Amino acid sequence: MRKYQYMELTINELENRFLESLALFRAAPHFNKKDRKSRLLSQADMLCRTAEGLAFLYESIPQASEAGLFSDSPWEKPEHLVPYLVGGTLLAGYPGSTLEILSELRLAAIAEERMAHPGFSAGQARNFLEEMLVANFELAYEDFSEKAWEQYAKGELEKIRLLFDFIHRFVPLEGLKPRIADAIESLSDHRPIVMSKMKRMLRVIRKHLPLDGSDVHNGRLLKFINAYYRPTAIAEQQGTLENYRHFLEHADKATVEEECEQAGEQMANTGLVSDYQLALLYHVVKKYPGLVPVLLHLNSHGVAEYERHEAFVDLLVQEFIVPGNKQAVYGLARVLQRNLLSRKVTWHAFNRLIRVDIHPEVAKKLLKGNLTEDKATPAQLLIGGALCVLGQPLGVRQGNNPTCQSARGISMWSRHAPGKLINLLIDAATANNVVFRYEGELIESATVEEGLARQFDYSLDPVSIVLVPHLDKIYNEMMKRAAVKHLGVDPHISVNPAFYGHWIQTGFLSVYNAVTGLIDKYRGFVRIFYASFHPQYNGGHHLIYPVPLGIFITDASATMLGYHAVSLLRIEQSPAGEWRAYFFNPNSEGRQNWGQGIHPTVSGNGEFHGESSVPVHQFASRVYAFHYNNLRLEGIEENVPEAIVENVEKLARESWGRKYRWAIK
Amino acid sequence: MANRFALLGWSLPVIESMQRAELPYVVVSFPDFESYAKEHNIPFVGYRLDEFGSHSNSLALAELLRPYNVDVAVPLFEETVEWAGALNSIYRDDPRVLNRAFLFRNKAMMKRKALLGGLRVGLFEEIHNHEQAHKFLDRLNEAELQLPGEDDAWFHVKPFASAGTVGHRFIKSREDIDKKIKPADFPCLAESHLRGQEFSCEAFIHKGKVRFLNITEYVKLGYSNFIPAGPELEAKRELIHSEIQKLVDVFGIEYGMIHPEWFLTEDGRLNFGEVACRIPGGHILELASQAHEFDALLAFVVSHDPSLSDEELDRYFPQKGHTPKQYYGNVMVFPKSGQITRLEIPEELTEEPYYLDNNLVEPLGPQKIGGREGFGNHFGTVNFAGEDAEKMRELLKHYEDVPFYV
Repeated sequence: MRKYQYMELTINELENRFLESLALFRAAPHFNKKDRKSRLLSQADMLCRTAEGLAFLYESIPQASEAGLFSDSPWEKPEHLVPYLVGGTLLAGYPGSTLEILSELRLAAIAEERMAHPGFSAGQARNFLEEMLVANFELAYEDFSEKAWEQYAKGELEKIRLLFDFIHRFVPLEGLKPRIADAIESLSDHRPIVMSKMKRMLRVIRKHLPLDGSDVHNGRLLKFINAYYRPTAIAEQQGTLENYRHFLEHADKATVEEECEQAGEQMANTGLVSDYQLALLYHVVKKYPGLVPVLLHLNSHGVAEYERHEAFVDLLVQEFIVPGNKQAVYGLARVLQRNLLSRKVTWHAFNRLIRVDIHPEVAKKLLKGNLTEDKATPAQLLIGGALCVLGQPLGVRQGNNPTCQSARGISMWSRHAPGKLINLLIDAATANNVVFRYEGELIESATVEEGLARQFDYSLDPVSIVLVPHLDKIYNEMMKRAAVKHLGVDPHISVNPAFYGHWIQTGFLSVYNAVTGLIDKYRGFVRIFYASFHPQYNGGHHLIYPVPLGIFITDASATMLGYHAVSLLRIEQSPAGEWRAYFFNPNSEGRQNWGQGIHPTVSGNGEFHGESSVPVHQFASRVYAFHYNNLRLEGIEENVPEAIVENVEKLARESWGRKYRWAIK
Repeated sequence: MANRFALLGWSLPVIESMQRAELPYVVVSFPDFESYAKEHNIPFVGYRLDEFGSHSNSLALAELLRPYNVDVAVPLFEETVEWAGALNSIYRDDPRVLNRAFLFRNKAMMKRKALLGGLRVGLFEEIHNHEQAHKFLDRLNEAELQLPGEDDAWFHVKPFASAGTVGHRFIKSREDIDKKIKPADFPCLAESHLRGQEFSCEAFIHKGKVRFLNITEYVKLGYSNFIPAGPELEAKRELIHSEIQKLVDVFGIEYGMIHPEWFLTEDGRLNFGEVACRIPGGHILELASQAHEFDALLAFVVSHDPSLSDEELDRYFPQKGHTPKQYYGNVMVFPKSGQITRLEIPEELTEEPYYLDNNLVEPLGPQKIGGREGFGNHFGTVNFAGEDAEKMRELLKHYEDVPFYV
């Protein structure tokens, strides 16, 4: 009680201190604001930690903003802010988290017309907040009680919780339905291996948002709620899992078959595996093995594969798939569909994988990566994860790690060299080490100190959790050695083939001339891109292997943000007859806004699950480096029409090209 | 009032104070700052204030400052003390002003002068190599009547002209001589260890008299201090005041602010450590400003102006007999050695009623932290205020060890 009274007293005092600090900040001359600003922020940080303090900050935000709190910072112009980056910034800790909170309060104040901002209307602010809530759903409705949050400072999480509590007052969940439905559909279309984000969204909707079939958005959401929480009519009837299991024990084969069909279809439509489906799977492997393909929604290729490997599949299900990794059911279905077990290499590799002794450090990481509340052993996590990666090569994501290269590698090996991938996984899982060759030298990850990732984000699939820390170090070490060994030469030329393997073509082009520091021979670059990959200009051929390429990431105003690694998978005509580049983007967000009206899509334009796509010329305009086959050009690049090249160059110059100097033609 | 102050060294807070008080000034600093100064309309003369020596020519600088009509030079940093001395010698037409500046820049000369004036100092010598350091220890041990097998006497070595704790080595045994003293530290001053509680003062001098005296209590030298000093030190204010006046008289200081460090022994006597005449580190003047409710940076500058009358000067200082309402203290945060990735404000700090604010910086990325030197490379300051000196001491001591970077 005493403590409480005392805290209340201090809040008043904190408010006064904040106002004093704000006055000093305002009065400080423009050349000496930095120190005052960090002190002011430290005051705001204290206030962020209580609901009253936050409400007070909201009241004061117009003055603080006007005094220049956001000036000379990435938060300066609201029109440049990106909704889906909010969550990462909030979790990155002080002082960024505090400025981000203040930025949200400013947007709320603009949305509520408590303050005006040139170039950003109340409508835009509201729109931003809505988008931000949906894009950061996993934070916006979270109480942070789960163990997955233990790695963050408690006070920081409390700040985030208080912020969202506050924002919810202005933007109720009810009004977000259409956006949430968009987000969930897009996630489902993109089919990531890690479905925890979608599941968390579904959990919140189920708890806080009554849905009836009355409007179209309710219907869109119900599709997923049903698939996850009540995949069949009988499952809904029975309610608890216990009851459902009991029901299955006594059901006849026809009824069970009906259940398998429904559950299998739900999984195929959404990518979601429900607890009921898992219960069904346990039931049918034992009692009606013939129904397993129905439950896994397999076509004739898959059925044949299952029949050939029935015993092995039984073993996988009974030993390695549990509620804590139930998504592996979907992975298993996809693995069977790909006939991977009938490839000798994969078969032997997988048989070895399921018998490995997992290194204690690796086991620890695997357990840390299990973000569900259900238990699973390290071996179960590893094998379930391997099924998912092999089944969904394009479902690999990098999470909040700067490890796009590693994610891209895992995805490519899963598609084209599953044996190599499993082999690597065995090394990493047993020895907590992997060895790569680089130009005749060996690089052991265990001896390399630094990778690109600082604080590893564990919201990844188990295979990534085991492999990425190693791959990241290997890649970084190769890049370091290349920089020393091949002075002035783009390190990717030697690193990419060593890192990814022989699938990398021997030709290499970059727009950047490291010697002159200029963007050089850009038109030739575009011509070779088209002549190598575009069927209309390369003699009607499709890509044999995915092409790893470097792209400039640009924001909604087409301003360059940084570099990113993606793989070009194919260039084909969309159902609407448009030539599009289909690519794998290991970034968690497939739908982005690259500016200049360029919006990669993940569905609706002929994308397979996990692919992103944009029209070819838009894609080409962001590429800065690629590998190609120089034996197959023979001058055909000269046939690429001038108009196409001009168009691409214009898009490039007016976006990322603004940040570079260009060589005079 | 001075026509114009030349501020030697680049300090944004001082410039801010001058602008706010609307006093005429020009900044003299390295040409690197020129474009920034121009951009923000800061009157500026670019000059390479490299080490002052026989080859350097303050007349050239005086010539550059002539268009600005400068008549008072103010040293902001250790390295600008001789330059200010040289300029003020010209402005006051008194060559000895420069000689006095040398006193502050050569620790051995400083000690000799203090000894001559009757201040209590340790046994000291100038040494030029490791061998002389060993000989010094021999004589020190001898004077301490050491018996075989007893521990060596403690002593300190300090480069002649470094600020604060830069290059300061504390030698506690014979092995330390070869282990801690680097060849580059020579020549330096060796002095026997002075016992007692270390603290500093900021004495604002005008016309040879102490106009205002601030006492700063060190909790840990180079890490944390608070103002006003706790009741134990404040009780000695008169003694301290008279010792400082003695120092001022001996050194012949007429204008400016001095920042001497003292050791208060258990029997209530003062040992003289050293003295500087620039802005002290540890944000001491900022704490002094808060505690005594005046602009200590401005007072620092105007104390250098001989043309001010006592009454004019009074405007820049607290009322006589002013008593601070509470203690203001700070902790300078140095990340612990090793790898750090981010700033994390400790939860306990946010619940601490004495906690005021901080200006800690975010690391730009993961980085390795090595050792520290002087007051350099700290990552910011955490500020506290409160009414109880004992609690302040405990807090500051506590937060020296709390990690802010993980």
